Amino acid sequence: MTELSRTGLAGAACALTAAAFLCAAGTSGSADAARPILRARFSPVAPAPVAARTAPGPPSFHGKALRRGPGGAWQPAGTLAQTVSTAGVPVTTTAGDVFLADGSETAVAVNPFNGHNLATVYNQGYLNTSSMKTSADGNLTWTTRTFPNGSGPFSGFAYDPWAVSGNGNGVLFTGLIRTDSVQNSAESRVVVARSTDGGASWPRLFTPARSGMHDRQMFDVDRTAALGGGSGTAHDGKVYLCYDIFDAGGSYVGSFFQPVSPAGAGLSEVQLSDTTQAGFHGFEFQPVAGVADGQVYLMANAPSLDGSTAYVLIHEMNGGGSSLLHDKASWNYVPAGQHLGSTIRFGLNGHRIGGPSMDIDRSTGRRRGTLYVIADENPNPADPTLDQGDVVLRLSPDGGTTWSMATLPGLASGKTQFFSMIDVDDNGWIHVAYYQNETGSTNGGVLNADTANVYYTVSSDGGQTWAPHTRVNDPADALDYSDPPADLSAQDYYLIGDYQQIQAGFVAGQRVAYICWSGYDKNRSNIYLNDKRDRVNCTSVTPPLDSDGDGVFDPADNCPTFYNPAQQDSDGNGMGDACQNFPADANVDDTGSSQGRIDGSDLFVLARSFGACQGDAAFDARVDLNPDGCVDGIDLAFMTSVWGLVLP
Amino acid sequence: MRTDVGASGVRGHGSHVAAALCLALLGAPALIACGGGGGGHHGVVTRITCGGVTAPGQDQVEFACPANSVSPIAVRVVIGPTSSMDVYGIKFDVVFDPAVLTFDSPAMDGSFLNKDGNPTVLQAATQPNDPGRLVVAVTRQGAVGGVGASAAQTTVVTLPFAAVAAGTTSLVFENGAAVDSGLAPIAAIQFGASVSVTFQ
Repeated sequence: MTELSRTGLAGAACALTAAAFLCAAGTSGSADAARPILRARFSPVAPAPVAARTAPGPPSFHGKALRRGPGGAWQPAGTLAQTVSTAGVPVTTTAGDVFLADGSETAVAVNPFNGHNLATVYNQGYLNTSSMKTSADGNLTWTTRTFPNGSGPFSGFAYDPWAVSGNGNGVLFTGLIRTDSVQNSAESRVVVARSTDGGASWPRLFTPARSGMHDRQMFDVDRTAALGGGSGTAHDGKVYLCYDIFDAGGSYVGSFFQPVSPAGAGLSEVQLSDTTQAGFHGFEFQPVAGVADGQVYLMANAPSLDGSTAYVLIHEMNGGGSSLLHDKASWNYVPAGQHLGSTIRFGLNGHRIGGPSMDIDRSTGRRRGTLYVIADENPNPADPTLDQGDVVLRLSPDGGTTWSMATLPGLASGKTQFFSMIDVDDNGWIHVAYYQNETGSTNGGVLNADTANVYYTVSSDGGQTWAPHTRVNDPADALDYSDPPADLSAQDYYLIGDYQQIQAGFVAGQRVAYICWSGYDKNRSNIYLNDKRDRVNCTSVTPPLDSDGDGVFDPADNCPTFYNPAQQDSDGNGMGDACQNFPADANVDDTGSSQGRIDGSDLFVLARSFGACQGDAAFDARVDLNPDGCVDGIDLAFMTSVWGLVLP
Repeated sequence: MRTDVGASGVRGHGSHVAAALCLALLGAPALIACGGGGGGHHGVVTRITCGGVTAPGQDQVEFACPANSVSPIAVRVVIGPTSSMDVYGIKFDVVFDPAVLTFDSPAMDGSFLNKDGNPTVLQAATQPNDPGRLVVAVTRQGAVGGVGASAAQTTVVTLPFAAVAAGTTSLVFENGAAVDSGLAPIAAIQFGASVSVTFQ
């Protein structure tokens, strides 16, 4: 049999394996050191007491859209553009980065039926109706679209963008919070817009009626079963909207969950937390629709009372908003960076950074329902001369009850990473992007840098193994910071946003990830729109292939078409054991009629050891064909892929 | 190469698939008539006759007459009353004329090795360079004992075949063996004579 046909057999075996059997990722093998394979080391997350003393932080719109002016009145933040430059729109397209507009804090949605169809929304300033664009060609060209006003007077400038895809082809959702058109008003409203024509038009779908300053709106859509949602249809298409409310004095009122019917009608609002200690269950809620109809997971943030650590709280809503299960899990961590000035905000480069982000695996694979939370955490909080930020991934396989964690392997040692973004695509691949401080005048810029870049990595096996991290921005588009940073306390350290987004999609079966991020150029005037320092870029990334689905991407895989997550290579020759001696290894019993042939005598041995792992009495290493320490369906698939074969 | 992994590889882990396949086959009882019937498949007028079938003796593995006289036919491999107390697996080749017949996967597990509910693994496939040799094995799964004595004839496995052209071919056992839970051969279990199948 030729090498080519062996490869084909192996591929068939893997396809069979993927379809019918558990594909458990193995533990690290001895070959790790020799190959650039990035394996995560997960450990249990220490839960924090549910009744931990936490409190809401300041609103995110401080410095983003509003700040306190003389007399305490809300005023537009100083970073907002006052007017449009007459110099024209300096659109640049360099390498893979496509410049969209001046702006920051980006959100992007990808049409699940057409990965070329995108919508982005971002903070921009006074030109509120233009703070969104759509693309029909996969981030090659973008068209400015009109975002709708809220009801009544809420047609002022906008902040807190969000975007998700809907259930139909061309159905996309975007959201912004619109301020009152009356200057110095203490009112603003979430506005959710929905396009059903691929982003050409954006009628308003919903605006909550609750008075106050709305803040940190995020939402998700209940998926149909075809798009990974639950099997029922009662809640399909509902929008699960969360927002915080602050009063005119800037005091926290509470956080709310507002389900919205597919027709745009507000259903019963649920208060998720309030200002009392007993009632506070976090703020800045991110809802993530689950894998059961009407199920939505809610991730909330909360600073400790002294501001020294940040808490994450996980809640679950069911019945489309009728049943709330508080505090499924909670943990705390020290965010990346240090406190900014005298605030309790953590930040880097003189600006605040984002909180954690959550997503869920809605694939049909064995990790369906797994929740992932990514956050930027400080490995050296007591020493700001050292690395001030790592990207940490937590996952829960049981609906948010228990969690394990791992620092993302492959992060540049000694450098600070932040602004991590996550998307879990339709096949359960985990796409991650983040910023990294590169250089700076002090301690290599770990706390305050003069340049930063954007990186990307991906995992096809639920976060166990990762692709090499790749800088994805063009060098010309690297963030160009002031070093040391200016004192932005008057604007509450808002700079390039509180979050950025990555979303993946598929075009003709080809996976593509879109990272929509905020750049920064200190050399621009920051006075006029079109000459602002913060700039929205979207960068397209084509992830590497994992042909055999073993979590190790083809360029690093020692058997690229053979499912061998352990990558064992006993003789160190670069070819994995799993394929080096295959199919001869499958000829376990070489006596009698089985001499030189893979048949029942070999299958008997495998069947006898089926389900056994190393250490078990029944384990037989001869039939651990991949070899991953267990005799399972993968080994059976390997043997059957060469069933009846007479060896040369 | 055509590969069949016991309907879903490991019986008991995908039994709904196996059940569906069994229903699909058993759902045509009106067509079952050994040595008669009619119909068509692969352009062949599939009036078949089946000869040489005998009731299996004790510890004897035999072919049963195809239950369906219309192509595809379902050839059952049966075992007679057995005194063996520890049968763990059975393997054999079925040799036939590929100009007349082709294996029409999937094979289906019988009720002999799994009669106590223990999962089994069934594998049956030909090789591209030897399409007239169907390599079959069915085995219990895990570190368990074999099945005990049986007083009646029991189906070990059912093998579907489709007609390729009119003609006669024999179905012959080769390389037959049964093993106990220690994977040692069971000498008492023997494989019987061939049967002939004619497509007109």
